[in-house]
Amino acid sequence: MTAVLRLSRLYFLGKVRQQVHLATLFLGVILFMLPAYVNAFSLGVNAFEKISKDFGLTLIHYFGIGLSILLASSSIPNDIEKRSVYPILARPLNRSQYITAHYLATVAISAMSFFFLAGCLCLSMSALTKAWELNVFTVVFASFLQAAIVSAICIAFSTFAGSSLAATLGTVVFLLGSLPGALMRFFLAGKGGSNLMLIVATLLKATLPNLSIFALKEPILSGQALPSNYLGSLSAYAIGWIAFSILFATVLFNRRDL
Amino acid sequence: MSTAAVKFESVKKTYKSRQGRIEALKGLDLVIPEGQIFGFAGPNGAGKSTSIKILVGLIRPDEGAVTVFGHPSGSKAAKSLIGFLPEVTLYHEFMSAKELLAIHATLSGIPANEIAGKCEEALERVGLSDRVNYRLKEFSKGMKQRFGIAQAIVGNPKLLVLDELTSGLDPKAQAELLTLLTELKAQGLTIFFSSHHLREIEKICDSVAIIHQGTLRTSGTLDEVLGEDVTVSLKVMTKDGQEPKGELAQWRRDSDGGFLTIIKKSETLALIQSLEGQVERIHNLETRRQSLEEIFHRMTPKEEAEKS
Repeated sequence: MTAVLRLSRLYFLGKVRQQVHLATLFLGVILFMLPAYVNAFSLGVNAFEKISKDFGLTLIHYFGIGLSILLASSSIPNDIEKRSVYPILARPLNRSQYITAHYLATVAISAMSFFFLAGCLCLSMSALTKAWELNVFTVVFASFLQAAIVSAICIAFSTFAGSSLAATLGTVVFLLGSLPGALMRFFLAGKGGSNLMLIVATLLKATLPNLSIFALKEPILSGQALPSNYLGSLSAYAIGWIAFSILFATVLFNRRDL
Repeated sequence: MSTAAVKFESVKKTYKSRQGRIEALKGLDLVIPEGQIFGFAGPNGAGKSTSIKILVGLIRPDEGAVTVFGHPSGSKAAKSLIGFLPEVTLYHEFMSAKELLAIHATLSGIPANEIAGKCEEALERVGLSDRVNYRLKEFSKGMKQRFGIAQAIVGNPKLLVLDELTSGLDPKAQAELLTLLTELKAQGLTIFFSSHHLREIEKICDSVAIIHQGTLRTSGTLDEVLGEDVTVSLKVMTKDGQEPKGELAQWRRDSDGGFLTIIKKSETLALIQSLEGQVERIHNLETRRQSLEEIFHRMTPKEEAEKS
């Protein structure tokens, strides 16, 4: 375990050197200013809170997912391209440990981005509403879990594909997984839709992780109470998919000639 | 008789590419004795890198087996005995030499309380003890190669695998690294040294193998590989100024009145004995043997490579 943690620290620092945190900082500044900006143009209509939260959380969600896809898809292919993988995998180290180290580094960067941005939004909202807006963190935590699953899937793809293909496949999984099943059936079974497409889409939907269950923004913003232990169930679901993806990645990577 | 550090037994490896199947190794058999510096030569595409990758467990052979001190290559036991320096590696240059070395030591299974000492020792052995806290991006190419050797030896390996160690270095840096290798050999390490620089191999290696188109062309100790072609060049001044008598050699008169011949090394003693009484003095006696480079060119003909 020490080896995995030291290796993941190395990859984490490598990603920090790519200066992705600058994009996070930039977005953080926007989120700091967003509620005040929206408030200034609300012309007395007291809706700035909902608009700011909605817009801010959407920004955080898509930025975080995009960042995770980019980092996870490029991590292993870059290492192979630079050949820095050779002296590492020539050591008495399992390939599963190597993949896990890359995954942990990616997730650590994602977590930092997600929670830093959530903090920025929470602080700026709280300053205007004069109350702690901590429910922002609940929504962002669910988005982070979603990003963690997508990262694991992207890493699995990147064990046999280049970074661009892995990122594309990861994006497809994210889009299909996020789309509610009913919505997909509505479009595909509508005019011009074929039964075959519907079957394929339904099968894909059943095979891929259901990411729509992580969309907590609407229920939280509309003041709905989440069932008790809902976040716990979400976490367990995410951990299951992450473990499966890392295992799948290991099986694929073990077969690969480097 | 030394034991085998590495054994390749009928190793075959084929790659699939858009142009079809490429047979990188066609049944390679090779034994590398323990405690030696072993030179591995061959033209580009001969199968050197494939052999090295199989040896260090980065790829698996399609057929045959490779063992490292009796353990199957790719196994944890085999990997823990190997220190590997790949041909071109971009290290994580934002880290200091000590930090990165500590990570490699951890990955090699060195206990946490010994890591700092092992790192200092490895850097000292490669002459980088004054650069411990420097970032790798501040290192010259020669220093990076030295660091590469440090990362290879930090895990206490018994076998060092070095792929094109001196490639792209200036002559001084090359000479320094070769000296370092002989020092490491003296400390008991077996060194597997792949290089395009045949003079380097000739200079420091105890045994050598030449591979071409996935098959072994020759292997053995340097003397075995070069030995058959050793010749002696002898120049004598005769007492009477006439050509020496006898059938052991063909003589040629030189411009200064001396007589010159080139004979096999094994015939030297007999020839010198036969010259007793005829010769005023031996002007010059030189041993000359075919260089590894000449043997390499003979064993790896270009037209053969072009046909394949």
